[in-house]
Amino acid sequence: MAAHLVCLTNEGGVPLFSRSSGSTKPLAFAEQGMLYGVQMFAQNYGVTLQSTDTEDSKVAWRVFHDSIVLVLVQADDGSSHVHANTILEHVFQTMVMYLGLDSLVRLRNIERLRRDLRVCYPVIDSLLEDANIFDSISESVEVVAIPEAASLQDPLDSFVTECESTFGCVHCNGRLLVATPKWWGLSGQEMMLLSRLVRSLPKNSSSDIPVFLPHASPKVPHRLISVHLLSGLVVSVLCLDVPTLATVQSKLIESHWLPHFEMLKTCLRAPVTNIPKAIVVDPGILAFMVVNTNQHKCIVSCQLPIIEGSMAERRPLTVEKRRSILASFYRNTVGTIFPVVHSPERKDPSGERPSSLPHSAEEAYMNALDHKCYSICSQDFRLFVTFSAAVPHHAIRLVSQQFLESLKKDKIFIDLREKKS
Amino acid sequence: MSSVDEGLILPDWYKSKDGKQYISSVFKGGKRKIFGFLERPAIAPQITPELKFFKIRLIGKSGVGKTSTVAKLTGQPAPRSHCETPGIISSVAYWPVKLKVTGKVFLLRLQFWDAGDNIAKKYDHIHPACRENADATLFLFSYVDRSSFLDLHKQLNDTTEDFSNTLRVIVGTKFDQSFRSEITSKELKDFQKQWKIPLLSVTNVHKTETDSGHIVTETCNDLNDVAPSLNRLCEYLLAYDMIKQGLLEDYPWVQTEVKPTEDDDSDLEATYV
Ligand SMILES: Nc1nc2c(ncn2[C@@H]2O[C@H](COP(=O)(O)OP(=O)(O)OP(=O)(O)O)[C@@H](O)[C@H]2O)c(=O)[nH]1
Ligand SMILES: [Mg+2]
Repeated sequence: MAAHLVCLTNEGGVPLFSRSSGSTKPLAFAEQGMLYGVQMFAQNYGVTLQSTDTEDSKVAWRVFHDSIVLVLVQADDGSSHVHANTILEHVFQTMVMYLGLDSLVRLRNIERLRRDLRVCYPVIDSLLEDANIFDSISESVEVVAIPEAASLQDPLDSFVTECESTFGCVHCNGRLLVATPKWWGLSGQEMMLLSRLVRSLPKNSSSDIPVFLPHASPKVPHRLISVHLLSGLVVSVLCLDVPTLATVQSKLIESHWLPHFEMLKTCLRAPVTNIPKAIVVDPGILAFMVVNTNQHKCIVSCQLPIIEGSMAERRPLTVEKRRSILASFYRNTVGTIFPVVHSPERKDPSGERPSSLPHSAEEAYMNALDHKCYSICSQDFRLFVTFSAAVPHHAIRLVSQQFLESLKKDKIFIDLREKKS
Repeated sequence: MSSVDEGLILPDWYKSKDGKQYISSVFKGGKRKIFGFLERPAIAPQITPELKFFKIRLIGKSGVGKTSTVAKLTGQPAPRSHCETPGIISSVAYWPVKLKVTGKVFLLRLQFWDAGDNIAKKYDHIHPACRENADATLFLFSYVDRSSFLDLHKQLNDTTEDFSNTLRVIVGTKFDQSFRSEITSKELKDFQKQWKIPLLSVTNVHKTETDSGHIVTETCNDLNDVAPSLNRLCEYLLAYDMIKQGLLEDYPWVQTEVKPTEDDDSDLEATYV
């Protein structure tokens, strides 16, 4: 799905940057100007322009702090505008994460801001991509579900303490593996954006990057120190003045992590299917996503093996296809049938329209020629499943319910956040 | 004392059968192997070379190609368009070389310290962190940006810096664009003579324009693309190190065999590659 993003100043409509997903041709300058013009016209009449639909695309506008305008143009997949709004929110908070809120609220030197914003491109581009959007649309962090990870908790805690910090975590292939209680206490959006930042780092690097936390510390920068222990497995810690990157590398890395080398390797080799070991997955399931909306964690799996002789085997769907089916099912369910759950930190009007249903829906399904989808919305959990078309219609409900029950009980959803007193 | 006129190390050794045993620990199937901080290249114990560590810092204005150069030398995908580096990013590459005279093999661990130029101006801790205990400093200029070349004098003269104990190398980026170079070969030569600093020219990506005006960016970090640059850099590092240890008297930092040219850019390729 092609997407274009345009960022301008609210006063004067000076273009700050524009990005387009994948190999899509960027928007022409005149098109960018027009997108701003419509919005400005509305503003002059005291109207806030939120969104519009054209023949084949959707356009969403947002003005942040009266200073920055973001416009998103996406292909129309019939879903609610809520999701476009969420992406715009993530884009703005990415800018906050790298530059701090102050420099975005009071624009001084536009030329300089435009240059400074270039540091945001890798994360912003990743938000416009189609491949991994589940964490961003659900405002949660994608986690790796392997029980072995628990044994890395103590080494992580002591490493982070040694760095004179309380915020630290380990990412494995871009997904969160273990984290300190304080890290789990960050908002879903913060954890998600930090994961994307870490994912953008070269896999043979150690780094020291100034970051602001969009909710916890939007005005005071911290230093995010990240070291790749193995290629694809990286430990990160949020620090203030100490320690230096050199100190971390030379004094703290080997002493804390070398004893756990084998365990780290095991985690890195964990299967891409990302299913908790104890859970039996029905062979008719092609892909699923489960979100804990309270802890802001999600597990996504679009690469479930097709079992020999199983029903799914007859009509194999590619991983990309499964991913886009699941994403589109999510987007068309949440915001229309299910209510949206935002991070409690998020204060903006989300663009959510009152549900057209007189009651609150708990389950939803969809049938297509080559697949079926089922979703469940419960207290703290949401499950979205894509089934093979061969699974009988009456079975998908029961299978989904049982699947969710077993997922709920898994260790991965134990609340590790620091208890708030 | 050895003659170093033709260089300290064997430049084509990496292609030989002997060299392949070592190269295979850092290159596999034409692709660079990537190592985390707890990992090392695996080389058979009976031929284990001496490991040498180098911290290499990069200096140059924003957009000159620091990150792209590091990406090339360490085997990471090069950025297609300019994204400013958001802080300090320090990446590691391993490279084996064989000395010409003694036949001794070294495995060099090169750790590049790259920081975005603009971010380094905003935060005080970045320059000191990169400077601390650096063994070498790479001064980057771009062949297609004259001001980046003129900046070099300023950077080398910077009184707040002390380069007396580090190797200095100037690196010319975007060499693929040298047909429209904004710097003449005479200027380059004079510069090298004045400062007695070696020059390394690199092509990090190939940018070509198609008929439709679309710009295609191709990365070039195959073994044969990077080996010459890594060899040159490692040669300079080892020479500097040996001089410090008193094992080598002097080294021809500026290649003197370069003949004066009639001051045009077309000779650039012939003289400096
Ligand atoms: N044609 C060509 N382009 C290059 C070459 N090296 C770098 N570039 C381009 O130059 C631009 C800037 O490169 P970077 O490596 O990101 O610049 P930098 O020095 O790290 O910049 P800062 O991080 O902002 O300080 C990118 O668009 C690269 O594609 C090269 O050898 N040839
Ligand atoms: Mg850079």
